[in-house]
Amino acid sequence: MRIAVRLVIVLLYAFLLAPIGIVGLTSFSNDAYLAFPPAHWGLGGYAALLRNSEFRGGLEVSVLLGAAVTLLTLALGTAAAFAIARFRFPGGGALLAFFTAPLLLPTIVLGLALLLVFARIGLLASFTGLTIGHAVVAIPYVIRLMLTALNGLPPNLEEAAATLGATPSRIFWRVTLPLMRPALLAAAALAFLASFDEVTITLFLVGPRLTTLPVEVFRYVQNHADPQVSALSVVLIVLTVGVIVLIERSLGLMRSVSRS
Amino acid sequence: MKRFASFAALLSPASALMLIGFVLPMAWLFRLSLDRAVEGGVLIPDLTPANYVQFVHDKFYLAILGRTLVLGVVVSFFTLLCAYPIALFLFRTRSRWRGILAVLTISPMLVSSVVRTFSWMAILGDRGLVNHALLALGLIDHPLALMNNMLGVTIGLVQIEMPVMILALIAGLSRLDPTLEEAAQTLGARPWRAFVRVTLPLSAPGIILGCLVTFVQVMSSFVTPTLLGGGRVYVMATTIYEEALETLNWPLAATISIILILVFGLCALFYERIGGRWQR
Amino acid sequence: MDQSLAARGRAGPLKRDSALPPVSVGYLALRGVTKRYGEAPPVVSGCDLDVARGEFITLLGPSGCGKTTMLRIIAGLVVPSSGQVLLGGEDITARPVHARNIGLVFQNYALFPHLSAERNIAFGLDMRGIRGRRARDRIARALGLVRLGDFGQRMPRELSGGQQQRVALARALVIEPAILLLDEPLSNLDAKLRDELRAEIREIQIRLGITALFVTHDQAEALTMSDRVAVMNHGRLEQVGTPTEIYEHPASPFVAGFVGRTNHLSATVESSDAGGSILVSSGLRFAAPEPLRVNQSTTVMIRPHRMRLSRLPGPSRDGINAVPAAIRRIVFAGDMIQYEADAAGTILLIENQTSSHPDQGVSAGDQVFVEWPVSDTLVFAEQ
Repeated sequence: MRIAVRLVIVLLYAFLLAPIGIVGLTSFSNDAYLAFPPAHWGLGGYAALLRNSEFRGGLEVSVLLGAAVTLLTLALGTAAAFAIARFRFPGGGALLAFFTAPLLLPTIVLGLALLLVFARIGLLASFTGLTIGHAVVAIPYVIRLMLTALNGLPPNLEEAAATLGATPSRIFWRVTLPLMRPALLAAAALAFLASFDEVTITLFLVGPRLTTLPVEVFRYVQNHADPQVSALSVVLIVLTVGVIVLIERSLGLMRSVSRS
Repeated sequence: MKRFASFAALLSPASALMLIGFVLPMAWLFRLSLDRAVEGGVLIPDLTPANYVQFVHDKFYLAILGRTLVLGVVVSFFTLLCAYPIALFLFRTRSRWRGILAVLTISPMLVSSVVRTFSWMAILGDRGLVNHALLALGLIDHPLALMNNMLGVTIGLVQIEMPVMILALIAGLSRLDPTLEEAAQTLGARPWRAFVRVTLPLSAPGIILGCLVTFVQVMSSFVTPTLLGGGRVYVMATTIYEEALETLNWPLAATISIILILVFGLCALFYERIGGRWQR
Repeated sequence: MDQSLAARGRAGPLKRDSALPPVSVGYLALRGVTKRYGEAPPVVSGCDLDVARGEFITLLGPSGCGKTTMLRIIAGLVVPSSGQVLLGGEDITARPVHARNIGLVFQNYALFPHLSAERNIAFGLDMRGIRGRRARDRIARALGLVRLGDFGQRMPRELSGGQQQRVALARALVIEPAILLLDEPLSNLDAKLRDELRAEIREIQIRLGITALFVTHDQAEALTMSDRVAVMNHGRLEQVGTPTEIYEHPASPFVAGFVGRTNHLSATVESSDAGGSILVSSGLRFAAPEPLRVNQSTTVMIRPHRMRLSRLPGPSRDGINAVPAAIRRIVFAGDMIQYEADAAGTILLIENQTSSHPDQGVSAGDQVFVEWPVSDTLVFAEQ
């Protein structure tokens, strides 16, 4: 009985984790097509990846876009979180619900809705349009994280600073913000990842000369499946793990992943 | 008054973003669902429920809605089946590997959906792991069609949804007092019966939450049905995309979107009513 | 199901038709029970214990002494590393929990939150295949027994802590267990309720004649409820005896120190003969009733309530120790008055009933004599 239970657990873990492992293995292939196991092992996939100018272009856009979204949502989100946390207005909960509402909507619907409006106001296929679209799905994470951090600050510190003669703005810059540095780092990482991994909304907003990496990959995979994509996947996973380690260092993984 | 001014000043930039990136688009989406379109994507402003009527009367679209609902239910069921043992194991184990296992369990969540779906192509494809193994063992002569169909989409989605389901189940289990199962056993229940009569019903809130989140995510999933469906699996999300960017029938795309949101709303309502009963 | 019926068969015939759940019979014996986890010192070490049918025995000890592990071993929730558990003369060491027919009341009640009080109580009966009318009668009797007749439909969260613990007790009793185990069942309740339930549990136990093993760290609970008390420390049974034996004749300094308050003195034997010994402790001289080896180092314990104060050394009487001391502090605690006295550098605590010792006019700083009977000088030779 115990052995049977353990076997089930092992099999389920295999099912859960196999895809990542398989991608890693198929990336070391010199084949022209995706096959497991590869007919010829090698670094051909990685070589092809380096020569792929579409992917390189997409990566450039994605990184720039991610940086822009991170800066924008960090500024706007922190301000909003501060307002909700410090001015205990009735309806603060409703405000929070409003700012996190985009997460509850299907991204496909949000993408379509953005397409419809941006087509009218000329933001389609523009960097600005992409930034707004990504910011809307990134800002909920930022606000929630910053709000948790603000509410978790040791009480009375700000009051103590005030009794020592600090003005409200100096309290914010000299006391509150330094205390929130780990949360800021985590929020930045999450905002960047939310933008960097976003596909569905982006598909509606990109143009011929402005495409992100995930969209390039999505379109590529629709037509070909080859080791090059495996190699790219490995690179992306390594990058993501890097960002996660950053969060983990500053905040703890489980806390930032749990959505409630 | 000064207080309110600084409150507004802090809140308004984010609100402006939400306005043009969320409120306005959603309102416009609804408005457009009442317009009409003619061939070639020409919009005719109107105030008509024609698109909704068309959706409800067209067997093609109804079949898509039905297929999406069935996919949601089937994937939720199998995800629950695959996730429950892992969740229970993680909840109970005192192994020193527990932390690492927990991170491994949710690690797939951190991998982009395109990559995750692509990895299933390497497993389910004609030249993938499963077909290769079965051919090598001589169990089949021709590769099985494991993707570019509903089966592939279902398998991929189950794996993709597992981490979320496990998190929901663990959240539900964490409120469970481990002495309850011991109490059941001292009262004469064998371990299996103690599980069925005590642990399982008490983990119902986690099960309901996990299934609902999975169902909702599957209903709106786009990348996985597109890639693992190979363009042959039509669900709500793929249809919205096609109507919007290929057929260029924006009003119909908007209509299907609103219907999808309605399904979401019903789910939320269901959770409020059923979930409320289980809250302590 | 067949197993639990068999278990009941072994436990002896049951009188089904009596007005109360019938008397269960059981005889519990532990033989060299030891539990160790890895390399650490054992949690329970070589414990032997015999519990008679219908007896109420309490395992008393500080937290971490192994008493809860011992209870869990008896329940079958923990498998001992070595030793045997016998119930009704049968070795049940390897029997799984669900087949033991044991009633266990948990510290945190462990009521099933998704079942009403009634259905909580019905659970164990259901597991034994007892349903319908027969079950309903027994549930009603059990609810009556714990004075919760009208609360059957309530969910656990709708009950107070005391009511929840009563339901837990009814749930454990309704299955007519061979033995009732209680794991600090009162520790989550407030003081007044604790006293009430203490008396109630004891009364029910006597009424049903059930064998009960009670685990607690509260010495007052142990002394007031039990037929016998087993004091545990560091996984070992230090002493097993009636409350009076434990209190008046502690077998070790630990027991003396853990049960009741004491004055602790380190003393050396100065002289000794058949009639007793004279001990010296940093300037104090006093007599002990038993002969001891001269120069032996000892730990001496004297109960504070055995001591009293006197203004004068009094006529030197046989059988009374008296040492000079200065009163440092007087604490009035209602029915009791406590004195702290400095006897040549040793601080002594003296407790007197207020009624039997009306204010003696003693105040802080007074020079007095502290007196106590020689027979109340408990001496433990140091190893």
